[in-house]
Amino acid sequence: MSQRIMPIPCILIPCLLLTVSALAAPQERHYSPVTSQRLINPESENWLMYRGSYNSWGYSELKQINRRNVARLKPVWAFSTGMREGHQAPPIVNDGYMFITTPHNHLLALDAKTGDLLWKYQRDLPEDLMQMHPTNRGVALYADLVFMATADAYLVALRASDGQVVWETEVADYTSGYYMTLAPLAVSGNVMVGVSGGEFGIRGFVAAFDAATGKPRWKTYTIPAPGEFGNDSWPGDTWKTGGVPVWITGSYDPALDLSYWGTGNGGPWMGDTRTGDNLYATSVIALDTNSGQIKGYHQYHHNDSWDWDEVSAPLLINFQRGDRTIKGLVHPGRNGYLWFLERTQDGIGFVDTLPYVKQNVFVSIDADTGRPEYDPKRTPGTNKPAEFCPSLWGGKDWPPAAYNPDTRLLYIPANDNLCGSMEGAEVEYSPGQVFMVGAEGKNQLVLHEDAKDHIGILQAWDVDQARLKWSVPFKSHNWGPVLTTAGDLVFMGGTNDRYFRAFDARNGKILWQQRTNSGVIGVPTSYQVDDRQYIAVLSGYGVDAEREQSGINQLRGESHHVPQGGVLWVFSLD
Amino acid sequence: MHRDHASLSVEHDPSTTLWHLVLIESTISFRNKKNQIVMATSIVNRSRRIFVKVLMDFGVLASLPFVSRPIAARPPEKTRPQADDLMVYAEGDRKGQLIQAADLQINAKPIAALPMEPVSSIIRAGSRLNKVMLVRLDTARLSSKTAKHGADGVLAYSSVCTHTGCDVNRWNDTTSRMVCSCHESEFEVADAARVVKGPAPKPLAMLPLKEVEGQLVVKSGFTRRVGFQQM
Repeated sequence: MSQRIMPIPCILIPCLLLTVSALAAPQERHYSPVTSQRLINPESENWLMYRGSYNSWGYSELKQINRRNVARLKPVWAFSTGMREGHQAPPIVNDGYMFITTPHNHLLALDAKTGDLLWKYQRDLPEDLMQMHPTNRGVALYADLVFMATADAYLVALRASDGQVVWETEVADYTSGYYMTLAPLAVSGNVMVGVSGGEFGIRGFVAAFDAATGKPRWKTYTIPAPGEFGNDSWPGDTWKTGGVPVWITGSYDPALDLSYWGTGNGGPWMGDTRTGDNLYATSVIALDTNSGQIKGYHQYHHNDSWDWDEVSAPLLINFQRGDRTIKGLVHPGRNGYLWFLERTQDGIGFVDTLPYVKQNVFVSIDADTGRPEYDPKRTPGTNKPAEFCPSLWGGKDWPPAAYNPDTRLLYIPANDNLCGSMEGAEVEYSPGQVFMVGAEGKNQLVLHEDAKDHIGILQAWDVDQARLKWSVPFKSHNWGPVLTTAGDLVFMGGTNDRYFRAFDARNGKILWQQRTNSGVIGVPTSYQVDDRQYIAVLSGYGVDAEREQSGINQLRGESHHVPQGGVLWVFSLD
Repeated sequence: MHRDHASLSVEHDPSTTLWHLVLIESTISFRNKKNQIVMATSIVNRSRRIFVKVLMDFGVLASLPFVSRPIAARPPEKTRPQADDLMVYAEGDRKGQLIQAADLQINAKPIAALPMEPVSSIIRAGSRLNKVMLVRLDTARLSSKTAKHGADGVLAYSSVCTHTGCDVNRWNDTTSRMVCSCHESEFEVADAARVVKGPAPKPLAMLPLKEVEGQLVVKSGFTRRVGFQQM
């Protein structure tokens, strides 16, 4: 397997050919370099990273738009990307510059106030690329650069002011099944990325690159090699092709200088092909950002057989348990359990957990370690069918939950009453080829009878009491990333009726909604320019939301269609 | 090699000692999207004749620094299937061996195959876009546009799904459909791989075949663009 890592200074190749610059002349626009200090304490008017802050809260301190006036929210401008498939990137904003990405790695810089296109970069992707998930989840900012991870597994750095490519580095070999969809994470001059490809027999990793030059700093595999701790949880050579991708941006605690990354499931999908716990699959790992060393981990569930990637990074929330304040990690798992963990300099500790949707696989949880015990009847295997809840898309897939420190509620974009059935077949590894359940394997959705009432659900959980405070059900399945604001608001789309909605953060009442061009599976953000607050989100259905719609259509005998095509919507008060 | 710019390459065909002009892969759609250059090329090498069809925006083309670039040969193993290529097994115990028409039974599971340049015996394994699935159906079941590209019921379809490029690796012998296990797109093999289910937007490309003394031989290049559109 080729692991060539080669920064390419763009003086040598005409990277500029890729960028359409000065569509609206940047002129002498000011762009404030993004420093480590700004990333640690981001100003409220900007949205500098994937979830707005290192703690992954998805929370904006802006409150010009609030629960009392949100009914007056109106679109102020929109921008069509011209692309199909899943538009999931957050609009990232610094100094009136907005950066969005699209499927197939288009990167656009827009004037965040007027919607003028400042420049555009189009990645020239190879035609033999296999893209199981055509999407991209946005950029990272550092210094005067913008960073994008690409579907052909490169990390590209562009000058924020004009889109000139400054460097690009091959992170992995796409012909071996590696690709990238996540927004990079910039910490202290390092740019970190993780890789997708868990369905193609990769060996997952997180890697860091020098932000200024693109030179590799470190690379930490999510599957230990022989001689490393945890390798004995993989039989034989299965560690070489065991998957465990990292396809969502990590969280970061500056006080501990540790970043926290969620990991995907092992491959191939049936756990009996790789008997053992399979570290560090379906886990959260704590990485030292300077060395990449794994400082701790918690495995949410071992030896996965349900395709429950646990890739969403945990939210860094300090919660109460009795009289004790715990520096916590909170993760609504794809496995249907809401996990409360403790983060320390030495590692990650288990606190408690409970199901937040119907879950019939875990028969018990060890009170000390959090290790679940499985019902064998709900555990599929090779030539062994089993039905289980939740479905392979889980209680919550990748769409990020949000936390509001004012309400102390965690808002989970969940799916309930949707179960699955799987049966593995013989599967043989071939580089870059699908390595899941085997060509003759079976993988189907199953509707629980309560799905007549709802599948999608927005839940608000009190983190101190680990108790559901309120919820809003939807007949549609839900793929809506969540934003919450100091204006006592929660924003989410995600349903197949194309609506983007504002909820009262205290009780879930729907206060405003806008029907958009497509389904809203983009990460919403909020920012301010010239004393005016904006809410921005991409509407553009595709990827797994569309595939789940297709499966539900078959089960319900319906033909519900959600149109594709990406449009950025920007809202403000009239 | 990186693919960030359009460039022109010259390919040497050892069977003809002629030089082909081709455009390096992936530049075409990119230029189209940027609207800087509108270009399509199709190259048909049939009976030692070459047709090069290039549609372009001459004004833009003239401004591109083609001539200053080093000219790179596209090796035969990466070249798309050509007329008179033979077919060999792409995997399994017989990998690399020639496939005879008699190897294919009606309605049996498709055989993964690669084209082989007949003079040099170079197998075109350098691009996954060259892989096809061979299947035989009763000729009475075939639509006319399907039958004309087959060799007595033997059909060759690109193995690359038009949705997101996964391999179409599953066979339903009840419905005679090829299935992509990534996203469950299903293709009607008897009707030119028409999409009957799933997210794939277009049929699979067909590779027209003929039978010569029991051998399966490529009649002409793929009937449509192989792979998926990045848009």
